[in-house]
Amino acid sequence: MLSVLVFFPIFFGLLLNLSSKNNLSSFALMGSFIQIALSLSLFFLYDPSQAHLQLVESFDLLPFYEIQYFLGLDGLSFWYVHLAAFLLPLVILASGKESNPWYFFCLFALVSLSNGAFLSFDVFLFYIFFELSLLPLFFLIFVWGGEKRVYASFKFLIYTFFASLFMLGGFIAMLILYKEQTGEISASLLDFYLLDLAFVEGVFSTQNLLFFCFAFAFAVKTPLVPFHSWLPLAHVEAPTGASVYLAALLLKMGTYGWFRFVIPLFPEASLYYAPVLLFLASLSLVYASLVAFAQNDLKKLVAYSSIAHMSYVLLGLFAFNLYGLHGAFYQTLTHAISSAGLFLLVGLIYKRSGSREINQLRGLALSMPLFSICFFLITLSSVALPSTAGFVSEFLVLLGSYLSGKIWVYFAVLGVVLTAVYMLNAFQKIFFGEVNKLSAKQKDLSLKEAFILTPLCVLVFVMGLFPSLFLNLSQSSLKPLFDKNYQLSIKQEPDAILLEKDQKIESPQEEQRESL
Amino acid sequence: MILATLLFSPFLAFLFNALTFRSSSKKRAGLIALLAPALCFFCCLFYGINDGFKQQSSLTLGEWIHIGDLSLSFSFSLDALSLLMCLLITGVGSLIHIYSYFYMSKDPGFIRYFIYLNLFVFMMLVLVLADNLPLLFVGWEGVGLCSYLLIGFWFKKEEKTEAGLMAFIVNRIGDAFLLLGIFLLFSHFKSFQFADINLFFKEGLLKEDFTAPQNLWLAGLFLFLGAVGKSAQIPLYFWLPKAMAGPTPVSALIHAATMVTAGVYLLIRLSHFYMAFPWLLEAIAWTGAFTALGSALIACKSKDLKGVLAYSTISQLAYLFMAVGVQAFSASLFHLLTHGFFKALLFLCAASIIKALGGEQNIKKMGGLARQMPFTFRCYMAGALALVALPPFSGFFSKDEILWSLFSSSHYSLFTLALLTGFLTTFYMTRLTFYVFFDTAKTKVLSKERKAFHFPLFTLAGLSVFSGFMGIPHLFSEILPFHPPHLLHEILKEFSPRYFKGALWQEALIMLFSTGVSLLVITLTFLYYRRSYKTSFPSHPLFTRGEKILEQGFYVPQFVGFIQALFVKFSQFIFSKGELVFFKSLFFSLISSLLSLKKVLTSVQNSNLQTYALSFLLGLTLIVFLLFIN
Repeated sequence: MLSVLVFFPIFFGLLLNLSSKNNLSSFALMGSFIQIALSLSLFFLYDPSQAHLQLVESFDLLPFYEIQYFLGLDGLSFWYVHLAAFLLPLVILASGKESNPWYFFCLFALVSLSNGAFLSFDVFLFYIFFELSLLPLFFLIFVWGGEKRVYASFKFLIYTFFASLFMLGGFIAMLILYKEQTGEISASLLDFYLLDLAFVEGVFSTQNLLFFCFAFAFAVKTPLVPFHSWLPLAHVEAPTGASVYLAALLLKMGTYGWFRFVIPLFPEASLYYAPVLLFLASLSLVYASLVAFAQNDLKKLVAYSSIAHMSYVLLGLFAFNLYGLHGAFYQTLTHAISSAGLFLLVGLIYKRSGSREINQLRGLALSMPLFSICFFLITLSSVALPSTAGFVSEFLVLLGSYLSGKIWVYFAVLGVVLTAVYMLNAFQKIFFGEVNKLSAKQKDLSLKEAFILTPLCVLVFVMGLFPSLFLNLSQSSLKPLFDKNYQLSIKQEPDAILLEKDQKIESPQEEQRESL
Repeated sequence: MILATLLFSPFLAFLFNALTFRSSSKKRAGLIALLAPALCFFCCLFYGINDGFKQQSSLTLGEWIHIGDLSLSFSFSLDALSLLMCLLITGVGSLIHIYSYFYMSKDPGFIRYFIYLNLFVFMMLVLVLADNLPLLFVGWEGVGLCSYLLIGFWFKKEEKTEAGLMAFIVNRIGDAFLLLGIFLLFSHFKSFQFADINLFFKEGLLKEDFTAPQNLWLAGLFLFLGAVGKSAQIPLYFWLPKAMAGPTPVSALIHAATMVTAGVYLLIRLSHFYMAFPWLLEAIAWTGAFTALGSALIACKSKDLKGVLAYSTISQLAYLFMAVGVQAFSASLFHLLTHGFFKALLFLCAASIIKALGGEQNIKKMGGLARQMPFTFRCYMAGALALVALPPFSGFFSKDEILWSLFSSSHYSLFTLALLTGFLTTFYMTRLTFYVFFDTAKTKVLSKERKAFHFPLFTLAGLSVFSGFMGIPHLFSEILPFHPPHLLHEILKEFSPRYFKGALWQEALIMLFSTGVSLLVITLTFLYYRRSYKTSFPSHPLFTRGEKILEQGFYVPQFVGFIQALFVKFSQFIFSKGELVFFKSLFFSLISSLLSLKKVLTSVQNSNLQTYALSFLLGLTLIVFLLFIN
């Protein structure tokens, strides 16, 4: 099943080349709905009550190089598969003049590769998917991007590729360590979890050094502020669809890395360096918010707000308590929705008026009322107004990080104010005021566009009012994450039932013994 | 049942109108919007008459967030305090809905207006009915949102939407503190429930050797700062005068009667918690005292009709904080209610006046309206006399109770400030009345008084006159033959256990003194403006200077503008220097370090893990090093 999820989109993307130009987007739309149906089937196959790895598929891919084909699903990756599929039809519908078989192929390939990265549990397989997912995005920016697309796409590629090299180094080092400790060779992440990595306070111990490698790789991808400068540029130059996927999914690969690798693999080092990361995350939040306020390009503003929102994820994660953890995880989902929404909206207005400049647009509320309502609702989620999606995650993150008791958190709370300042300031400048020439010409949403935006607007409130619907499915995988001896086992269907039975049989006997 | 009605009827009205926004006719949308709060009000009234004040009902609408030991649900409870607030919100709310129905009838945004207004009523009810802090926060920010939308209701005018934005952001600053307070309370109690927090302190305060847990004073401070933002006290008061940019009925409902009282409501809701921190209460009282005096001073020189009323609102809200500061919670709520009635009335009168004068708000350009708008004048006088606190108007009873609690708890300096503010109030209201109603007419009245406005104005006037009798002062109940009870105190015993005792003669003296001086101030002010305001009063340079400072509102608006400009500059500086110079160069240094790292890597390829890892570290330090050189 998982292999289908990973490989169906990319093959379908290839098939798109066969279709005629006229019904290209409807054909692509069909593919996206198939993908949604496929991923929805996971709701029946996946058992959320267990923390085990499920629906595992594994065989040796390249035995000589220790690369295994090893896919699995747990609560951490569950939602990202749905997210990737859910965004596809929206992005396909939103694409205008870029519509081209190869454009859609890149989008489908992106879904494939990100699914691959989120589902693979062999570290090298993960690395391959992780790196390959850069390519479709690179082409999307390089071919269909804006003016400075060459610079932006190469900067994006070099920056992120360079950073992941550190991760590769880390994997190799862990492979060697595993061999030293057990004598066997394995590149399975599950085996790596069992590794005993020496930890000494300070800098020079195995675990610390490995922690640095991974932390750097994922800090670039997330992105955390000193390493973020590739993101705004890539966003600004990217076509709408690429921006949506970049913000909603590719950045989540970075945060996923923290959840999947950094915290469970290096528990002591993570805890030891948590204050540093909390500081960086708070800094990132305030810095990105301030810079966002200075932007005149709406898309750039949304890009910086993305950075600010992603720093909430790290803030919650390194608070090292359950609230922060759940909040951080939820933030990855809520941010995906709100940023996807915002990028789609910015794309719409850019397609219409040819301008994204905050100074040039004015009084749009009058000429595009429906559009402005949608924009407002998504903005509210971004501002984290209670009862919208953003609030639940930010509330939990801030609660968690507050309980961690670090002073930096007070700065993070400043972010609550700053977000409102830059988002609503931009909103007010674009939508309010006397309508100007450029804005007066614009038509309101067409039916198709309304169809794109409605699910996002609805989701903002569903996620804000019923977070349990989402968190319950991931809870069992999130809870043990801070365990020092974290391990993930594969769910074995028949055996597991047997084991449970055994336990049931054993337990009364034990009770009897105790009572005797 | 009652809770479901209270919550769902405004929400459904909001939802219905919002979804049929395009196709709905004005009349239908307006009637639906109007029915919702009216239905709520009658439910509350019925419930209250049937012993609703003595019981508590609760309703849980399902779970919201559940993680580990954190469990939050949409649970509401209705007790005496909430019921009083609900009666105020839905009662005054209904009247203002009725008023708005006619006031806004020609506005193209009619339906939008009622959508916002219903959402506001819903959020306000969520705020007062929530039985835990995060749910209160939902309402808290929800009303802030509605206030933002309604201040900038006429969104074509940029200064109006900017005023809305400022209101939202200043409120957000308060909200951030409120969040911190909620977190701190949670870290101690592992619960968000008001009941849990109050119970802990209620039981604790009964014990003799009770010391409040450390650090919790900070939570109290944070919550208070949240309340300061919402209730427009120093230092976060400056948004309220600007919020007058919205339609005037909105100012009446949101920025006078209901939303701005939410801060005080929160403090009263956590009364037992605050009683454990006497010095914090002291700080609250002093904040109130300074706000009361400062804003009353500004109101004395304001030329804007709504501006005077706005500063007066700030000043009256400050009384509520003073009362809370000396643990006179029931007195605070008493004044909250009466103020809600008479200030809503004054604002609605102002709305009628401004409409009749074709949008003129400058009081110096008005005049002679006593004859031209007799009905409005009479209603206005009921409100103004209540605000000035002359017996037997409602303001007299509630303000006197606050004065008495300040005095009898031996806060003499606070008492003096409160008294002084009272006289200032008398002064600026007399000045306002003179300019608007008695001065020679300068602007033509464009339209006659509309009959449609009479009902809400008349009802509110009645409430302004008579609502004082729900809290008969201690003195009167002693003297009078049938000993009328202090109804409000009976109802709120649970929240306001402290009883303010003292000699009867002192109480009588304070009443006589404040009333007497008020009458004197009215007479003098009237004479001053009537006779000699054109011939210059013997003026002293210091006096004119002081006048100028007051006219400028202590230069606070300028200061706020300066801070805003500074923030814009700062963010641009960060962007241009940090983002465009510093981080751009970082990228190029990264490429160069990439090349050098490759060399290091190839040389150590065959060595063991330690050196391998070390080389990574070297690479990292190299980047940092290059970064600083660049």
